[in-house]
Amino acid sequence: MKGLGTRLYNIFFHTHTVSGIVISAVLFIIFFAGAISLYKQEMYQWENPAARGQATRKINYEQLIHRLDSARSGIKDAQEIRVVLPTQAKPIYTIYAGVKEAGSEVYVTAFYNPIDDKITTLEQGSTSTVGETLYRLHFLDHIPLYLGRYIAGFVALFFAFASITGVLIHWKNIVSKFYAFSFRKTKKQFWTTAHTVFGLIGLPFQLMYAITGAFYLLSVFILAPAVILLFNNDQDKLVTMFYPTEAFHEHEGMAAAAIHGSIGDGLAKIRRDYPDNTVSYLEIINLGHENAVLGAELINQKAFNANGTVVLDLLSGQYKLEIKPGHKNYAQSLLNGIAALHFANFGGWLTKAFYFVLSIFTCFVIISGVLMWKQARDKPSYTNRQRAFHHRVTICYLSVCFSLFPATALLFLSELIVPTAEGHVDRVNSLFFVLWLVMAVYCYFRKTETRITVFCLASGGILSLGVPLANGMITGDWMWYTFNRLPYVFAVDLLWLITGMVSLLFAGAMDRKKSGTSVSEVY
Amino acid sequence: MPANQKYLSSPLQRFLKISAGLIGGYLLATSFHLALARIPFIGLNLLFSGAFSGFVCWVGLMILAFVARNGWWVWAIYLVLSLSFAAVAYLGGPSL
Repeated sequence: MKGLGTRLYNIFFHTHTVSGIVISAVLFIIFFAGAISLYKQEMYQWENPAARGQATRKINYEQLIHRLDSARSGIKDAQEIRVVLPTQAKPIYTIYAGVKEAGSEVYVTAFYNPIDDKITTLEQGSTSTVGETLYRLHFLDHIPLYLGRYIAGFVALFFAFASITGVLIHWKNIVSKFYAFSFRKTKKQFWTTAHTVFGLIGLPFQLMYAITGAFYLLSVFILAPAVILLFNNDQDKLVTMFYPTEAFHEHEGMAAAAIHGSIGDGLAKIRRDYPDNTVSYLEIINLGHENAVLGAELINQKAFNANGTVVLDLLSGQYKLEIKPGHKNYAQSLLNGIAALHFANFGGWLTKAFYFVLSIFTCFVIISGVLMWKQARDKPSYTNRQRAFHHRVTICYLSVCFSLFPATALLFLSELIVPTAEGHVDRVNSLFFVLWLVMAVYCYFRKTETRITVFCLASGGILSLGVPLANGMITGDWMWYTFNRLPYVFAVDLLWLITGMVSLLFAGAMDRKKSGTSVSEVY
Repeated sequence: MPANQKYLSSPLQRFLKISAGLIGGYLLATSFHLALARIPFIGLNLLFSGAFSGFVCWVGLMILAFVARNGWWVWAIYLVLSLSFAAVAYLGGPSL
């Protein structure tokens, strides 16, 4: 039995192949950059040496807002200020404020580093960028006009399509291929079984990412009709169902000025009342007025989606809204649940480690798919021109995908090597993208899969070894110094060190094997 | 081994099925969730679930479009169902 009839089998096989080959290169970039940006927070101390330490000092929020106002006027009078509180990994306060400017509201982002007591605004340019660059790369945000986001969104959607059609066509053979997996098979058999086996192992993970990724980038398609047709164009009503603190954002007919309790006292009360939870961010609304409130999101980092939300009236010191952790209703926990799944912020570091490994498996499934696509067409029933085309496409994809590895190592290197002055972020990003392009073009002219792989592993390996070296030389935080004082910095250095050594070993092994047989024999 | 060409449909049929899956599938998945919102008590939660089930349905309908032999029928069925669900959503009660 075929599982599917012959006709449907061939149709789905074809749709799987076409959708897969079209999205493959972009999908690889998404999963590779996404895998690393899972650790965006954990990398922060490494990329910004000024943030190495812990945010221990108590801060006076009213004073901070006054200081922010001198960095960017208007923040003091903002009706809504959101403060993301420092964590062990990222000891920085991030402040978002809606500033009124010439009739319209502009959102201003500022950072406060409690370690060196410095304020920077996003307009001046942030101090570091590695995590942000990779994070934004993983939904192609560098492509202007939000075009990249829509491309990435549809890639996610077609990824779901390709995954499900993949299951449909492999259904009958999944089990037998799973046990047939072996490194001793011929090239084509290896890629075919590897594609099925790793596709199966990663299937739930991949489907989850296809759907949540599509949600993040294409949610407007699903939500906009609901707002128009069901909510009478009242977007706030829908948003308030998801985020209950929105109900306190009413500023019409501004209340009278009043002297109320301080933000710090309010936060201390919330922390006293919820000792088992961490406050992830604050919402400071209508500061200095009778209706001033302090919203706080209470999180539990170990549990899955057991957040709470409280809103404290700063004038009376009573809670105006109290959703205990784990007691959010369906609508209130939905988006948090999607976020928890997508960003792996539950269950601690082991969850993230699994996510990382599964992401790299997915990269492998993508590459093996492209290689078997070419292998399957490398036979006399195709004209030489067709076969040359298949080869060129494969080489092009591999060049773009594999050179991302050395380029990423270089991104980390240039973050520390390029001096922290104005324009730092732009310079680092230009270096990264230009070098990625140069390496991809160079790889393309190396012509064979093996030579591209060896080059990327070798150059990436050398650059990876340079990462802990550069950190030691530039900041003085050598690994033997950081390992018991700055665990996050140490972990980044150590992982790059291991990555570098492993890639050089693989590069060496592949190079030796290659010199035995001629290139055309292997591929 | 690549798919056997003799089982694949003509370019026009292929275009019809792809467009029906992509556009018709979207319209049907969305209007279906809008209509679900009219179910008493649990309707809103079903609508919100569209944040993920909407995309699952959309992809499912894209795949289903290829099962049919005639792409015109796929378009017709998807459109008629979409319009019916949209009518239920629009006429089924006051704005939420």
